[in-house]
Amino acid sequence: MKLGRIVSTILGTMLVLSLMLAWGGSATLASAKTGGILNDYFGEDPGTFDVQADTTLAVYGLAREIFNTLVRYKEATLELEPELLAKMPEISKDGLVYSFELKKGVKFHDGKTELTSEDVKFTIERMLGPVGLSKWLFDPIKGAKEFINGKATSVSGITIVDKYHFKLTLEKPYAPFLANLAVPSASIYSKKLVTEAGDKWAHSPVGTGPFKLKSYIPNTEIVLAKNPDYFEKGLPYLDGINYRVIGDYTTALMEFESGNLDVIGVPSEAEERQRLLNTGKYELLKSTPLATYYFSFNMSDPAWKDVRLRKAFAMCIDKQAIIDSIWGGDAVVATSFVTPGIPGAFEMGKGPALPYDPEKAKKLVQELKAGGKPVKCEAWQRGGTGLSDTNIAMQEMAKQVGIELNVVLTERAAFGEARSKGTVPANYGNWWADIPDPDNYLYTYFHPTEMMSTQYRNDKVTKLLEEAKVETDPKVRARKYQEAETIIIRDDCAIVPLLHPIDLLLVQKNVHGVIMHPTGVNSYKHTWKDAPGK
Amino acid sequence: MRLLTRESKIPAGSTLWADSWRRLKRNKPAVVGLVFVLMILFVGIFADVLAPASPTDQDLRARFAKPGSPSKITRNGTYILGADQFGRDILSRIIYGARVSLTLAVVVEAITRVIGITVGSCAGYYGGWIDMAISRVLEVLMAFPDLLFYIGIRFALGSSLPVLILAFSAFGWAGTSRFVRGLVMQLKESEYVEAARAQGFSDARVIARHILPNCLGPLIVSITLSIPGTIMGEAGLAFLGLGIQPPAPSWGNMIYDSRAYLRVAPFFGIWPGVALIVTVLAFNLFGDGLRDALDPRLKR
Repeated sequence: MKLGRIVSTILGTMLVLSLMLAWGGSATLASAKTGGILNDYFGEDPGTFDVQADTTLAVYGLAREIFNTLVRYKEATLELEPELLAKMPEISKDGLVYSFELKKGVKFHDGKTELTSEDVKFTIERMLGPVGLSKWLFDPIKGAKEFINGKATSVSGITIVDKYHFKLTLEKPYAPFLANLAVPSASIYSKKLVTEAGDKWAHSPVGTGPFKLKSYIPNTEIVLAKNPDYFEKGLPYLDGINYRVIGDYTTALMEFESGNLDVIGVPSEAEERQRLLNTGKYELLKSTPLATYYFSFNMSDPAWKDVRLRKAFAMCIDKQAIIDSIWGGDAVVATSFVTPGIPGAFEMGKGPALPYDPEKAKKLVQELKAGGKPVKCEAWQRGGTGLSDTNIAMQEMAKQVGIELNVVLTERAAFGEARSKGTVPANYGNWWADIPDPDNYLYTYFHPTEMMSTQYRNDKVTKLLEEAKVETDPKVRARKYQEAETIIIRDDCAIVPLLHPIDLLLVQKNVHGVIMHPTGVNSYKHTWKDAPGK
Repeated sequence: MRLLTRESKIPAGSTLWADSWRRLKRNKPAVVGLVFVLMILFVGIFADVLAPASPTDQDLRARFAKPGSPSKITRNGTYILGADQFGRDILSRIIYGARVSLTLAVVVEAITRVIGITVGSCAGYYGGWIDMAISRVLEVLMAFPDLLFYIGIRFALGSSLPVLILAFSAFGWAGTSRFVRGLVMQLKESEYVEAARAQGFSDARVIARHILPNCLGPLIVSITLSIPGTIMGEAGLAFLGLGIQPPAPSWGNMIYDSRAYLRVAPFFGIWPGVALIVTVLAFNLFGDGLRDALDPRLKR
């Protein structure tokens, strides 16, 4: 009990100190963090607070305020630190057994229920049961598959030692397992409270997090209030958060400009962004998320199955021109699919992607034409009211080298269905990583069991991906992933990495301490607002 | 007898058409409208020759170049009306947009009028149960929410010019049918129709040679007045994101694209807007003048 307090106090102090460093002069007085109510908005009602049953960024963001995970990222870094744990778990030499110790005295928002090892077991088993959407998080645990298939009534890899100690045993070594535990979907629920709430749980969440749900009016607003008993003393600074549901971005922007919203994502048009910045009234927050925008091919498509067409397309795209014009410079040219910064990824600009070379692309197209191969091809766009600017620009760049690319606007549901069947011919898409690990990119897209419609089969790559997944030596692991990525991007040209976006957020000048994490999930735990009139 | 004498006094060549043309020429706004209509038709037909660039050629680095700035993609080396968000020549897109707008309007008119006149004249001429059946169908068609139909057809068939033509034509003929039905019902009671029938002409010949030519005046007017409606309709659909899909240019989707940049690049939205207004106004002025000219009761 006491130890836990001390640890959390130290942690809290460290956070405050690091915040002071991060925000310099404006944060030199801890007493200046007076709190206030933060006004944010959602483009549509998240619909649920049950983060096990949804994977949208909105629900993830809410989960970070209402719940806690066993481990978390240290502020905006990719370094993990304990959250509900007293200390980082001990991992056995073979990389299979993880021993955990929970913080003592962590209470749920009802003020009575205390967090115990039973709740962790319950959370994991609930996710692996019928409601859970992110089963991959706990999938590596021994006995998880039997449990999912209904062959076992409990997950054999979970061992409860006592109220605060438990062990998780993995089926095979899986190096990024701790990162799985930091995904908001891995938030820890209370066995007692979830069971009591029954069907109402999705709309009446009770967590251990810095804020608790005060009221929820569907399609109108979500009101969170400070949790005064939060286990990290002194946090959060805010008294509460009001999220309104505003369907139209332009309306939201007007609300932001008139001061009724404190935070808003930037407009997608670079010029509008500049106009807002030129007013000098707002602060622009930037972060480099774990994201890659790409153009992927379906290897079974009659036109795209010829590697020369894929290579010609890869070389005809002037990524820098797209970034400079359409993205207003707020992105970086991608040369690899795994976002740089992730352990095992190529360094920025040093990836295996084919360089921009329209002349070479033209030659390849002529070769294809001479051989009677098709240069007419198709790509789909997922949803939207019109083709995206990037799609239109790429279409024209392809036309300049002789590739006739037809981009078909496909309704979201139809797109999803086709993707699960593997029939999307090609598409301009993006991947926001759940965890900072190459496995989360490469296995998801290029293992034969993948679900991203690439229909990619290369036995060598499959073997490398499977080996790297269970490899425990980080250096060997990184080498295997880089080898696999080189084959995928350079030799087979199964995907064209286009760019890595820069995430931008506009906040009012009196708002401080918003943490933008590379996983795209923002947190208001350390946020405060200057008192009005300051 | 007196009637005959009076008619013989009318100068030679003074048919309905020559008469109307004389009246139209006296109506200044209508002449201006006609000149503009002919100009727009000319621009649309000769777009390939007139446009300084291809409507889809891009130069991403010339994003929102101001009017008059140098250009790498146009034949004359300048963006006369500026560049859009992809560095495409706005003037060329407006010129090709005219072709899209006019093709749509003309083809839709042709389809809806042919169907509408055939169905409407049958209903009006035969009456009875045929008229009953057709009229009920027309009522259903006219009550159908066409916007929903456009949205549905777009999701089913995608959006290209032929689909848009189909969407506009599917219900557009109901109005013409009703209009023609009324005219035919009136005319079929007239004496010359009865005379034609007494001579034993077939129904088809009576309708085509004796009744329809007398409906022509009002029909022409209604066509000129509904062309701008179709052009505006396309612009409206494009503004909802349901029109012709980019990169193909249409005035509607240019205006739709421009709205996001209205504060930073206003000319981008203004030019296609001006083109749209001028066209609609020209057709309306011309149509109005034509109505006055073709109506013998307004003879001055």
